[in-house]
Amino acid sequence: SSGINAEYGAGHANGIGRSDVVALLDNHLDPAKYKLHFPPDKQFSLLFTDDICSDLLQQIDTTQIKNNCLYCAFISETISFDSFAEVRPPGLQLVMECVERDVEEQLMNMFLSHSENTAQEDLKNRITLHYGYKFDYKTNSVDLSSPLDEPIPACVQEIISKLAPHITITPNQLTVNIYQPGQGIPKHVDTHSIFTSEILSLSLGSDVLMDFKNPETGVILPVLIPARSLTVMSGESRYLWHHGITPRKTDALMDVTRRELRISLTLRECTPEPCTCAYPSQCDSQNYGKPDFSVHNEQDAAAIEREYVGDVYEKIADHFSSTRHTTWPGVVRFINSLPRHSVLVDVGCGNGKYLGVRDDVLFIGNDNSYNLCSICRDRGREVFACNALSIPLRACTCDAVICIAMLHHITTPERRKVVLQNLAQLLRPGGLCLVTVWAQEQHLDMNNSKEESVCPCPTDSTEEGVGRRHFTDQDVFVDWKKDRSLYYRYYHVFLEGELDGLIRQLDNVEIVEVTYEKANWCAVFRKTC
Amino acid sequence: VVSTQSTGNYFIQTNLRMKLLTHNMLKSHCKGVVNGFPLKITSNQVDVKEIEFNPDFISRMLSRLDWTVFVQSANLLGVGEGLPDMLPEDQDFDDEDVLKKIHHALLEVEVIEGELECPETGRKFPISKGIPDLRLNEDEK
Repeated sequence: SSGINAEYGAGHANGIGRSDVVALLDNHLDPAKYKLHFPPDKQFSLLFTDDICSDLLQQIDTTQIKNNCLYCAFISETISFDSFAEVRPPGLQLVMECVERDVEEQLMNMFLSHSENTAQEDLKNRITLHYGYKFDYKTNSVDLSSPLDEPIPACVQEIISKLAPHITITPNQLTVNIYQPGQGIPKHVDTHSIFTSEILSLSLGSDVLMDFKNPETGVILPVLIPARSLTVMSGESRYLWHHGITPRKTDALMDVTRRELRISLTLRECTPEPCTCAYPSQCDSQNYGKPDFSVHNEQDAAAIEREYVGDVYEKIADHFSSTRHTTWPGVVRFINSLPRHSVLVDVGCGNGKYLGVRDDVLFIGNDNSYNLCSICRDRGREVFACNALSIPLRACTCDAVICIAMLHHITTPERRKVVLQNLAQLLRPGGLCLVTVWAQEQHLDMNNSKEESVCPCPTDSTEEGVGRRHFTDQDVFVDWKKDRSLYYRYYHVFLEGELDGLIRQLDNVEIVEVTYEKANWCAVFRKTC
Repeated sequence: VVSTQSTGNYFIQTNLRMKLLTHNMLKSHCKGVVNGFPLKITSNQVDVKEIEFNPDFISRMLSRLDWTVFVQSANLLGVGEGLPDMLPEDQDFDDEDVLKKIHHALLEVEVIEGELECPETGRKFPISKGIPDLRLNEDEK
């Protein structure tokens, strides 16, 4: 009778490979009459066969492999072996055995000897060689105006012409990667703007597991790339999915395999034409799907603040609030320095994490997002909804004002000045205001040490778990992922001196202190009259 | 509805609504308004939450308040009894009974549902679930 048998003790997690189990089964079963699947990282494997006999069961039950005792059990569910077939990202094609073993060896020797004669960039992971055009790892692109003296070697061109039925491009750039066992390459998408619709990769010397990750869904698919195979990436697998090789010495998919020295030949076609693919989120020609920043008048400014700040916070309020629970020491220090019974207004209070930091100060918060105000209210905080460009509070009624990570959402210097004027207006003479904004320069307080690259005390500019950012422009759109949706929030990141420069344009305040703390510019000013 | 909340601290509050202290600070920011203070309260739902009485805080707050507006609003909400029409000149005002009445009206009475009306334009800003929504529409800016 047909059956699916689970063999316990015989899984990858026990250190047992396919060949070990096959050696056991071949004494009792015709290899053509069974299929064997090893679920990843489990202590069992699954046997699919119509030919179970009691001899086999008895044999398995009395066998040890590598000190693991085996036993069998029938599975009552109906599973099909085909459900375990390897799933690949769309557009990925593998052509097996593209070269003979002797040709494989010749190619590897040729490139190894080239690598001995060529100066290497400081790439920590692996040795690289380039032909046709040089691939620049700083720009992730190619300079079409400077072709290399070395073209793609003739022997490689020959292999490519034989593979013509499987390929649509005409490669003019070759990058050779030499991987020692244990080396890998971080996940990436090949640059859209410079390379065309197919990326080809001929793999020599060793099988390897390549991981493909869909950046939109987070799904990861491991794909076995056998030695001497050609990988053709097109469509989604070329334009959307990231691919990479984990640095390790063995791979486990259907079986556990050790890696040997591996050389990959990546062949690409370079073009000056911009990319017009259907995957803008990964596309440099399409600015990664981000909006352009262009403000010509007050209507534009207000529109960006509405669409890329106000509306976004309304939609992400709960999710945003759940990532904002750590109070920042600089702000707490400021609040604790205030006299007892001070009245403090928090402009742009968000989820109200600073409201109530002290029990002997009266906190009133306001925020442009009604949903964030609701979260404050649920926590028992005094709050009202308003926009910082027009604050409906009487002048000179506050002892202190804080404006934390809010001013950088305002789109023009004139409007930022209006907000600062509004903050100053709230203060009684002698009252203090603390303003913090994201800095354009994100690493001023770090020593280039790797440990510090993920901020241990998360601030609003280093969302929990994400390291510090890198800003090339001052007006930027920063992603926010919630479930499967992607939102952009507008930020104007500040240069050194910019925040205090704005404050000095006010005529009724004096600057008390300017500091840089954890990728934020912070300024305290006092109302003079 | 009276609920008691016994706390060890002055400002631990749950389900906070708009207090008269906040109302005393709010003003209208409608375009063209010269004096938007005070906003007129119309309320159909008020709650009371007990807050620990701190005479020092109340004394200090007195000088910040627009006293007339405060008394008017307290009367509107039915909690103005016992509040003096004018504050005495004496800075060290310490009549504890009166301070307690001020404390009650200022901090313990909360508007849950209602409206705040601009005194010059008549524009009504809603208060719902205790959150006054004072945002102006695009065409009002």
